Amino acid sequence: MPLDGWPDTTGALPDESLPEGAAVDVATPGPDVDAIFDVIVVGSGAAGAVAAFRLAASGCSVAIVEEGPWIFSRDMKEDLLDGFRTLFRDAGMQALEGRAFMPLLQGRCVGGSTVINSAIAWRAPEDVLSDWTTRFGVGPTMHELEPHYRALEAELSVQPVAEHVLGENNRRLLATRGVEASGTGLEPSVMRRYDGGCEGSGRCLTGCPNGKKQSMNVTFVPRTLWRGARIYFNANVSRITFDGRRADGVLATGTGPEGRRVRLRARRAVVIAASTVQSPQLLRRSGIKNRHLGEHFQVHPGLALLGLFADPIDMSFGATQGAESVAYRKERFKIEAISMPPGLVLARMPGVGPGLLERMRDYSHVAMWSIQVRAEAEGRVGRTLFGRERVTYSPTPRDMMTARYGLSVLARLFFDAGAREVWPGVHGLPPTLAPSDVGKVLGGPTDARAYSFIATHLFGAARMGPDAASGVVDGDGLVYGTEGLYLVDSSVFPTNLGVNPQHTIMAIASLLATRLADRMAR
Amino acid sequence: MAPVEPSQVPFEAGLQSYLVGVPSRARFGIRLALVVCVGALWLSGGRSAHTPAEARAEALNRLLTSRIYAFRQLATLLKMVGTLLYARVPEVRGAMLGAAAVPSATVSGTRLVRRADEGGHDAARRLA
Repeated sequence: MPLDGWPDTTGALPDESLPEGAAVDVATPGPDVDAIFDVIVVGSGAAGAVAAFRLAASGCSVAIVEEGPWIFSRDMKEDLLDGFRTLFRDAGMQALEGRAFMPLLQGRCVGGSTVINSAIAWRAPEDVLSDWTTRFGVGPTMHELEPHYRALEAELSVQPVAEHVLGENNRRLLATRGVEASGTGLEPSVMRRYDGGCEGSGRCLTGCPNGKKQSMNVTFVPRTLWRGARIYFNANVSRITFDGRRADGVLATGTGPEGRRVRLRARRAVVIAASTVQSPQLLRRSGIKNRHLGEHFQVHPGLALLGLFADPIDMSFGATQGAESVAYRKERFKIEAISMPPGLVLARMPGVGPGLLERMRDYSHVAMWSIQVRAEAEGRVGRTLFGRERVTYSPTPRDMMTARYGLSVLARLFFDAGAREVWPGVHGLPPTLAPSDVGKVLGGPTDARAYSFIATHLFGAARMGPDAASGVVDGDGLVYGTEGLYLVDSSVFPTNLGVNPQHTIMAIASLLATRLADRMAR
Repeated sequence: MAPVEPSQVPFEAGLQSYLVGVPSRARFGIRLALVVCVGALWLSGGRSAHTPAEARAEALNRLLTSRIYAFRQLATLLKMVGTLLYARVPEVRGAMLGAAAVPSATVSGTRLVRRADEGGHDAARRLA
């Protein structure tokens, strides 16, 4: 089924063999666009691409609108600054504002954040889904999601990281199983990923150059186009248009000085999947009013430690992320190995100037592991008085205690694994830690400004609810007070998950799109 | 000893090319970071080219470990951009990766899907 309609590409990557006329760059000069489809899908990331594919597969005519460019797999560059500039929102300089600035990494290209993440596949924990239904009175059950998870796992080749591309950074974390002097009970395991034959380039962060990571730009977007859909990229959607209460299209403008005006009309529905930050903004710009719109924004704040080993690690080879542990999920954090390229590791090494230059040759002996905190804090997606987008977020004191404890566990693990020293990168702690210093991490600062958090997993800001008084959308993703306007990305999640969200974002988008297709077929 | 002296790296050109794609607010932040760090060097007497690298590093290190959060953030931002620019130099990359070094990640223009005629494109005719 997933490959139905897929052409024999004779070795070409999926993004090199697209149906003629299916991908339209509206940043280039040309006549304005005015076209009509059954369904308009805004966003081509994990949610948008899956929803578009399901709708196209049901027989609808579909248009996808994407704000960013389409960068082909073979054009993905290893250089980080180039990657930031072309693939990331705000060239990688986006940040949450609050007690501390927290960099927020989001993809802004065809495929969205699936192009720049590590393609980790995790089903939502059942206790989280139960919490949604009991506490918020809405949300899919595991029974409803299970067939969608299963289909996605087949369609995107979900499998454990292969041994030959595991890489030493991941192996070191896995090797802590059974050798932990500190009794952390980690039980690390090999990650399952969307993996079409990973070659271990270690370049997930700047886009897979081999087309092996099963991100949306090489899977569901081309597959949707081969089902007769069209994608308009470099198209900035200004607002959704309505005929009375019914959403009947979108208005967009091509990015850049020569961008064309785009008017897309929807016969049946408009589906929004522009991300947790952008979807609420688009609804607000389009006149949607709801007191929960922009509220309840959540993330998984991430922190990383570097460990220096006597023998080589070489983070430049192997799966960017391939080992993890959920042993501390009840304590609200998850442990992951994450490989970073030389420039970013150099930025995290202690010191500056000649001292830093002396350390740079240590890169090949450095490992990097991180924690993702299931923070309880809620932020807000809003605007400043001057109209600028602004996302405010501050971890709670309890989140900070969790983060500090998680870092202390990581530090202990590094020394269990044989690290000579650990570099915490925490203001108020020594720049390098010896085994006897682990206690200092647990007694470290609780001020978020002392840590270098990064926000990657985003949730909420237009959450589901049983009625308009408690949510922005209903259990089918229909925006309250409208007809034909659906929201299917992680902005509808009532809470964060505690595990990597892409799989659940796709499964929920798949479920909601399938329901929409069924309703339209009646 | 460094594989390439930082003074030989075209930081300014690299920074300018990156800033082209950066939103104005972030561009302001990076420039502010530059001003703050250069200002700190000036105040510490490290403005002269003859000032030992250790003294300049000490001034920057004071910013990185400052009690004032804004100074720490700006210095950290500048350190990150500086190390990313430095690490893209092939010799530096080679020194960091050792035996694992691969050919340089020199930046070239990204090719995009272009429109061939109204409403369409030709994937086979990708333009540089």
